[in-house]
Order: sequence, then structure tokens, then C-alpha cells
Amino acid sequence: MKLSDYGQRVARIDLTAGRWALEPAPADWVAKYIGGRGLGVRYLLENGADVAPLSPENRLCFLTGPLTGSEASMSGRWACVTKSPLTGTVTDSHQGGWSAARLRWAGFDGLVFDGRAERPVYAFIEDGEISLRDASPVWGLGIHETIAFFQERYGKKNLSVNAIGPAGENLVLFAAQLNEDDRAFGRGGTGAVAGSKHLKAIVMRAAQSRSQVEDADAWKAVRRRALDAIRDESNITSPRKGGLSVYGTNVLMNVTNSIGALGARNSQRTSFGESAEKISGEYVEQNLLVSNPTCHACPVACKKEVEIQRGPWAGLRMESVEYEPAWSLGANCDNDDVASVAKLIDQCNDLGLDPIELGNAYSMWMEATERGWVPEGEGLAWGDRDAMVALVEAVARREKGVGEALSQGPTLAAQELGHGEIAMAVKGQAIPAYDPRGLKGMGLGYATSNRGACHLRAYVAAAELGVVPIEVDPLAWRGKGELVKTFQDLHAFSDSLDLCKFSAFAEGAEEYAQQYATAMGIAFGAEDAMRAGERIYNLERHFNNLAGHGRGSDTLPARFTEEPSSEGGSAGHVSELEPMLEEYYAARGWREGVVPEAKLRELEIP
Amino acid sequence: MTIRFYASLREIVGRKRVEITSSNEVVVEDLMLELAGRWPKLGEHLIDPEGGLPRRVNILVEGRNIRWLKGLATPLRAHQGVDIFPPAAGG
Repeated sequence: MKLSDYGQRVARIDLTAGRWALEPAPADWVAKYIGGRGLGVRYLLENGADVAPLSPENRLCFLTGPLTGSEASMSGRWACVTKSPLTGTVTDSHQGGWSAARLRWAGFDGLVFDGRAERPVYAFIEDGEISLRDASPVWGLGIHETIAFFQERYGKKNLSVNAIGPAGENLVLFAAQLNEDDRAFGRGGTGAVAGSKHLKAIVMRAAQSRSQVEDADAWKAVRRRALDAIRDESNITSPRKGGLSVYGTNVLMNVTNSIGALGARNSQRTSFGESAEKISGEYVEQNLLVSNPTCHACPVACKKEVEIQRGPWAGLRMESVEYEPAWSLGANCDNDDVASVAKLIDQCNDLGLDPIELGNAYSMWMEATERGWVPEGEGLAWGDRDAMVALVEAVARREKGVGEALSQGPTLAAQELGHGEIAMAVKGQAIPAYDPRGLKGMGLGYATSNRGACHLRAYVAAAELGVVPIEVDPLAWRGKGELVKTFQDLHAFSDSLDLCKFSAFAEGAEEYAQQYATAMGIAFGAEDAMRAGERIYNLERHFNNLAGHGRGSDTLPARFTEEPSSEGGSAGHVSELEPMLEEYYAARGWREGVVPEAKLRELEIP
Repeated sequence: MTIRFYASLREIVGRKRVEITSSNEVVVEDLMLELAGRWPKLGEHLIDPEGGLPRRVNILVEGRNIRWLKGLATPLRAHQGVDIFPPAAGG
């Protein structure tokens, strides 16, 4: 696997015709958009911004990055990029586990799917070859059973399977794709796009392949520097010592609860009080943890396998009770029962649903029920865990009634009730687990994310929570415009490499650029990385502008700008979105969310 | 007042919270010294040798990081809650 050849081995797969061909990515695309997320967006722009997301004309890209599958730490990720059926924007979702590395070891840098297969198929990939095979035996099966089927057929050794479940087959707008049973392309409905193309799975078989880099000594040195930063005991990534490694992402639950940034009851409250402890990372580590699985080349091991000990779901082993779904299906729904949260997450992993979106759909419906806005007999009470568990299947199968309503996500479901204001979403995608009244920069990040509400495009929480050495008051709004832009650009670059987002808790533009430059054998510095990130972010926004997301589309639900925080450190605060947006647009050089021609030229887009 | 510990700090202290009775004159620095006296290993995290704010611990009074209040001079009242966290992020 010669890393500097990245981009040479992209497969263009025409599902309608049932054939594929190797077609290198244009060299200038790789130079300007790096790989992963950035390169995927460039493929989408080529395809046009006005395609219907669930039509055969939409494009579904799976792109590794230049470092994927290599010995670089945290390099086990790839990007799925498409036009989202949930938001109508570009979306990119990233997945850990082993599939990303496996694709590269099997001889491909990326897969670009067009068209629609007449019947369900899966792509089998091995030794630089792809075959489209009949998926009818697994169509209709959950993801766990689908993976088991392929493991039975092809053997477990060196095999990775990325699949959709019934939710994707049924075109649920927030359907996900998963590999390794529980590592997801979670957000934006990429599973529905795969379902619309009748693409059930990508099955890859390949043994690990070592990287070839021209300057092997330099490659070793730059990787060592990055690894030293990850291992540094002062960083949360430090193996078996840092909070992220020991407790997983859910180490955050008690923190955001204290500062008043943990939405509860559909964000009507900003803290879950004493109940947060019961669904926290500390509780899970003490009571349920059984192992710490990893992704490819990751010393952090933030994944946490748990086993439920008691109650109706006793014996369930799953991973992971992550912070996001523990919030969305826990605090957000007034549910403090961690066993039910684990069960719900596992259902999402099996049926192929985004648990952030599902939790927000539930909480919206619970609020609507409380206010008397839902049809008789279709209500859902706060914290009714049995009803929540029972309803997941109905959502995944779009059963008439509540299932069908919520399968559209909270935005459309709330609009159908005539109360769009209780959908906590931006551009049609539901919010993650950081209340914008308690972490002001995160709110601006949600509003300006190119894929709808998202914590990961900017993740300025790292600064607002004091994890990276930038001192930022979470309740101050001044300066957040420039801060969000900088973080968005940095992460657009790291998502294009494609390194795990959590590497940014230890590494920065310098470490990223050094690894990229050495792998590719080119001169490339931190400033180049930030400029590439800026170019990618603007390319995405340009795509969205062409797709109809123009002026005024960067918003937050009025709840966050008008209803003061109820409790915690943020009590009394609202999000000062408008002045933050002014700062942000000035830093971006945009006109109210639209990229002007001059900016496109400056950044050499496209 | 109620002092709550999280993540690895909880493991050092061996409990989730402690109650401390104090006069209304106490500031955060006094509390840190008292906690360090009780749990010397915890003190390694709470006390900066140079007298500044601890670098790898966040101290919150009523949910606000003392970094944005009056630092170690932040006054403490008997009814207030103090949360002490190591750095945390993810999600």
C-alpha cells in the first residue's frame, strides 16, 4: 500500500448497469480536497447539487483518506458522502472500526456508487476486484444477522461488513449504516440513500497491508510525535489514564449536566439533575463495563462494551453507551434507566437508525403528547422506556401511525403536527447533546454546520470545556465566530485525512500536516492544512447554496434564543446567535451564509 | 457545602461527594487546601506549585468554572455546590 498513490484506486460503480471501473480521482482534486470528506464533496459537486436524494441520480461515495489503514494512530476511518435525504444538504458521516482500513488493504481508496440496482445487491471486494452479488438472502434482516450471514459465508478472518438494516431498506430519513455491529455512519440518512440504491452491504476481505512511504525514517518520526501527544498523560486520550480512554465519551454527562448544557425533556430544561449520574460514563464503568474494544490503529480505546445485568434486557452485550445516545434517549427523553438506553442503542445499531435523531424524534413527540397535540392513542409519555423500546421497530419499518410519522425525523413530524417549533433541529437534522445556551460556541457550530445540526463539524466544546489549551468562556459569545471557523476548518482537514476526530484532543494542524506531507512525499505545512480545510468547508457551503440553502438558513430553534436556560451554570442564559453569526460571516467572508464568487476564486473552488 | 468528584478524581477520593461545613468567609483556595490535606494524592491535582489555577482540573462553583469567576479567590457560601472534574470531552 503505497500511501503517495492515494486517489489512484477509486472505483466507479454503476449499480444500474451492474458494472464497475477503476478511475483515478483527478490529481488536482486530491491536491485541493485531500481525500475522505473533501474529495467526496468534490465528487458530489460533479454530480450536481439539485438531485433528489433518494433518486438513482444521487451519488453515494465511500472515501478513505490518505492515511487510512496506515500505521498512523487513529487512522481507521472513512467518510460516506452523499446528498442527505434528511436535510437536502451535502452530508458526510464517518465510521470507525475496521472497514475503512480493510477497503484500503483490499486495494481501493474509495467507492463511488451511482444509479440503482434492479434487485438488492452487495458489493464483495477482495484483491483489487469488486463483484456485485445478490443480497436477497439478507434483505430484510437486521444488521447483526446480516453480518453473521456474511461471516458464515466468507469466514470471520480478515472480513469486514458495512451494512444497512430495515430502516435503510425502508428509506427512513435518518437511517444509518454500521460495521462491526456497532460502528456507524450515523448521521444524515446515508443508510436511506444506500437503501434507495438497493445496496445492502459492502463486504471486504483483506489481510493487513503495511504502508510504503518513501522516507521511512521520517514517517516513523512523525507518527511517533503524534503518538506521543496521544499518550501524554495530560491529555484525555492517554491510554487507560485519560478520561476518554477510561470512561469513553460518556465521561461528559456529568460535566454538561453541571454547567447547564445538558438538555432534558426536549431541551425544555438544561440539566438532568441528580439523574444524570445514573446514565453517566462513571456509572457505566463501575457497573456494566466488560471490555474496551478498539478501532484500527487506536491506542485510546474509547469504545466500551457493556453487559446488562438485571431486568428485562439482562444478558444484552453491546457497545457503546456513548454520550450522544445516552443523552438523546436518556436525559432528553427524561429516561434515567441506563439498561433501557443500552437496549435502545443496540436496537438502533441492529435496525440501522441514527440514535441522536431517534431520541430527538421521541422527545419532540413526548412534548407534543404533554401539550395534547398528538392524535388520540398515539401519545408517548416522558421516560416511558418500555414504550420507547417497543416503538423503535415501528419507526424502522415505517408502520402506519407514530412509526411512519417519526421515521421522517423530528422536523417533518413536528411540522405535520403544526408545531415545527418543538423540533430541536437545524436544516432538518436534530441537535446533539450540547445545549447552545450553556456552550455558546457549540450553538454557533450547530447553526453553521454544513450538514445540519452537528457537534463534530466545529467541536469548540474542546476549548469551551478546557480540554485543549485555549481559554474560552462557554457563556461568552464574543470571539466565537472566529473560533468556530478555525475549528471547522481544522476538522474539515482531519476528516479528509481521515483521522478520528478525537485525535484533535492531542494533535493539531502541525501534527496532521507533518503526517500528510510525509505520507504523500510533498511539502505541506500547518498553514496549508488550514487553507485546505477552509477550501473544503467553502466547497460544502457552495454545494448547499446551489442546492437551495441560501441566506437565512443558519438558524437555531427559537427555544435556544428566546427561552432562558433553566438551571446549572448557564441558568438565565440564551444563545446570542445573531451577533455570533455576524462575527462568523465576517471571518468567513460570506454574505449571510452564501459564499460569494470572489471567495470561491480566492480558494480556487471548484 | 457539597463537594462532588468525578471520573478519576472520584476514584482517588473513594466516594462521589463529601459535605464540608465552613464559615461564609471561605474562598476556593481554602477549600482546595483542606481537600489536599485530607487526600494528599488529590492535592497533587488541585494545587498548582506556582500558586495558579490547577491546569488539569476544572473546579466549578454552582456550575461555573472558577476560571471565569474570581479564580482561587472565588468566595464560597454554605449552600453552594462545588464540582471537581478532570478534563472531559468526546461525543
